[in-house]
Amino acid sequence: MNEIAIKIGTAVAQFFVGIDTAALLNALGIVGAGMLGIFTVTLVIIGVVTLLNKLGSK
Amino acid sequence: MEVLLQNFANITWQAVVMWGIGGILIYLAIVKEMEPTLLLPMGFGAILMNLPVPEAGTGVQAVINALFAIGIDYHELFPLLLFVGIGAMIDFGPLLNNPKLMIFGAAAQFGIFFTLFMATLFGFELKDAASIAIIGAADGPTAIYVAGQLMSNYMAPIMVAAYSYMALVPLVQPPIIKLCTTKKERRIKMAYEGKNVSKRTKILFPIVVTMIVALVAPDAVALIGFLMFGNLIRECGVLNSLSDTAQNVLANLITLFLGITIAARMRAAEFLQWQTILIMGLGLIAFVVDTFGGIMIAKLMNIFLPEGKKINPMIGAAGISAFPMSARVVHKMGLEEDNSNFLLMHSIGVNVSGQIASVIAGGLILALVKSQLGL
Repeated sequence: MNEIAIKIGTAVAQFFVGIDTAALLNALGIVGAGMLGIFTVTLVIIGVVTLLNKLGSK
Repeated sequence: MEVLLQNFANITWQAVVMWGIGGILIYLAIVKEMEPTLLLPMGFGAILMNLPVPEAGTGVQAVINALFAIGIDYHELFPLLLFVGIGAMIDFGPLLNNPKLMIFGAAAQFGIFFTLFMATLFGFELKDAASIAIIGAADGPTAIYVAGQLMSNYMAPIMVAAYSYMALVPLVQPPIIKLCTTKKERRIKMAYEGKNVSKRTKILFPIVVTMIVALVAPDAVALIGFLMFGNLIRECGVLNSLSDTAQNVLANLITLFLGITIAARMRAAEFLQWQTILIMGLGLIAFVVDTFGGIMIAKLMNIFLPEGKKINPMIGAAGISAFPMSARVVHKMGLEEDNSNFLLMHSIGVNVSGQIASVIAGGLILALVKSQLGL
């Protein structure tokens, strides 16, 4: 039982030691830029559609 | 006699496992009716690609490889052509009626970006992490397009995950929705004001959206352009015959070949890796976080909205692009809580906005990852 726990613990430790922090930070940058980008494009489309609807109703 | 039996020696246990996987996909397609148009060809293709042949990559496998080269490798032709059909099928009316619904489509793409982070955490290369993340687009053609553009090593498991989870939306979403909302929230009724959207707006919408996306996310233009081309054919009113062809003949024809073409990447050597299981898990995370993101933005908006104008947060969950399954799930859950609560028009509006948002997200992922990798 102890051996299994030690093996699991070692695997978990190796997983965390092996994390590439630079790659993670890089990915975080993409997450931020991506979400910002998608909301920006969406807001522009909402604005244009609202405008189109107003022009269409005239 | 020896000639007849000599091919038996080419059978490997890996091939047998792949036949089993092919059989499971065919079973799910026929018995469970899960995305049968794609899972059935993929399943049979998986069997074909792993049949013992004296020389690998010959015979039927060479034909499937040729289909892959033409349909996927060559500018992702099949998914793009499929998008013409999908565009012709979609009525953006409910979205144009209430454009604010697009916010939910945008929020429900959070799963894509979250999964990119998680895949990186698990040690995938950036191009593969991004390709895995796009499973969260809940949109097969977008997933194929992005994975193809980034030349991911895990095309087949990504496709299997994307289409499987799309088929599993009615099972995956309800528990997440229930977990994230209260009974009171699920009972919120939303009035539907069916404003008359002018024909001019419906015609200008696909053109304008294509131009906006082209300026911000040029990598998404192929996808959004073909989607909106199909929609323009539908809405222009003078190409009904072409619209009908795009919706039925074209979409069916491409779908027919797409499934079997993807199977080109379902060879045992490529598919039977421990990463496949990890990719399936990450795909599920993407769908769960997408659903969570859509619901949470609705709950956030409710803080600022007066009583009587509140949004049923369940409609946020329809922001994932799995069209129209997600919208139906939300509508059904609304009726289960209160049989006079009709959310269909709202959820359809959010669902089609998710279709657009997922393509934009795919384009942004491509742009950001390509710039990082210097492609």
